[in-house]
Amino acid sequence: MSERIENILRRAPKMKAPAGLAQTLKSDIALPRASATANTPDFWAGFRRWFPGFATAALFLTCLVALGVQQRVLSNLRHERGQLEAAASERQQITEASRTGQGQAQAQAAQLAQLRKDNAEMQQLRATVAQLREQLQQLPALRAEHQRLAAQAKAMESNVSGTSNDPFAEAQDKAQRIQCVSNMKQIGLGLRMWANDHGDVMPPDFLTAQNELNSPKILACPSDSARTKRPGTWTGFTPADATYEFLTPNVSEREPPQTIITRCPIHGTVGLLDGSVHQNLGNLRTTTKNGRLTLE
Amino acid sequence: MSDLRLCERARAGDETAAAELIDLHYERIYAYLRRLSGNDADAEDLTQRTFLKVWSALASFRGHSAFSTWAHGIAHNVYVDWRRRKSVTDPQTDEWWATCVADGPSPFEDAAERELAERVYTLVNQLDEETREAIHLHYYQGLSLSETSEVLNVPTSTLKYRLREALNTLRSQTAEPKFLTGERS
Repeated sequence: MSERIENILRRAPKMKAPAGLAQTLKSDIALPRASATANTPDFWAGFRRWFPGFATAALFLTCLVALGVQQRVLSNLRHERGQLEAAASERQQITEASRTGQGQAQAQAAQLAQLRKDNAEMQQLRATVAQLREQLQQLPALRAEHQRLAAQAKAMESNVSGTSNDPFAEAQDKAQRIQCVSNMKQIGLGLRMWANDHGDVMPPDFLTAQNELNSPKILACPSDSARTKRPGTWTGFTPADATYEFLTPNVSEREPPQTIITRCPIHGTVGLLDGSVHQNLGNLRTTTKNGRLTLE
Repeated sequence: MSDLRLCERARAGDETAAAELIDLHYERIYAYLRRLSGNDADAEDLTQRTFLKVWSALASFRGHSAFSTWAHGIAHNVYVDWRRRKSVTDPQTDEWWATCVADGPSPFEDAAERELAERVYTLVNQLDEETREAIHLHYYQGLSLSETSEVLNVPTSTLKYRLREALNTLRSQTAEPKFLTGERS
């Protein structure tokens, strides 16, 4: 049935065109201008003909340009990498140099500390040398004192050896020593009393302090037989009438208490500024400080 | 001379070639538009519009298809525009097809065949627009499937579907014993 219908459709009645239509259509022909119609199709025909070639060439050129750009970028990257590597190497060298400099600085600091330490030792040595020089200047006085003491000791030994067999002489000597100590204590007390009344300054001599010393008899050691015979009045008294040595005339009482103010040249007994009297010095020794004898 | 050569000459400004193209194709274009429009006056007017557009668009003719197919495409667009403006719904009547079949040199041998043809043609005009145009171009104008699909600007598979549906419709609506057997009642 379908084929039958299709046959009927294909045999549809023909339509006859009216007379004069063809002539009308021909009279209405309005073709575009020849120049425009001739050029445009030729251009497009040529374009269509050569388009595959143009496209391939354009693609090839694009690839070449892209390849060139990539090569340039790659070259730049390599160059930058080289620069970075050089910079890293330089930085490493700088770091090593810095470490070396730090080591040198530490060594210099240690050397400087050692120099400071040496300088301090040098200053200490200079102070020691100055002290030794001062002691060296006191050496002649000490030698003279030593010789005098040695002479006294020799004289005493000769006296002792001369009376060693006499028991009465020993008792007399002992009594004289005790009397000597007593005299020196009275002298020390009188001098300090005079100083208390006169601005804590010692008198220039024994005679000035005669009011505090009571009698001139205490200025003569009992063993000094020549001076013990002198009359017990201050009339006509001279410093040479005193056995004891006055070592600190016009000296302030604020001096060190171990300062020796009086001394017995016969027994070696010394009286100190604090009022004490030492007959047997034992381990004690006399030294000179600031020009004054002290007992240490 | 081939249509392509005539077109090239016409593009070059040769009116003789354009006249030859008119002689070769105006009757088919007119028949196509006559069947669709339903009257002579509109068909003549549409034919003139079609060829005016052909000349103005001749430069864009690439030659990928036959000139006839290209001209049918222009005629189809002219008809669609005209139909849209006039809102024409049913251009032909049953009487017109009957007259058309009876007056012309009928290919149908007997009355039954002629009656069936009248019925089929009438039913074709009652189909929807897209299906009817496919019938006109493929069967009435004799264009191939590819040419018809190109004119209608639809895929060939779509065109085949439309034609198959149209044939099924026509067969179902003409499926009376007297038509199937060809016997007269």
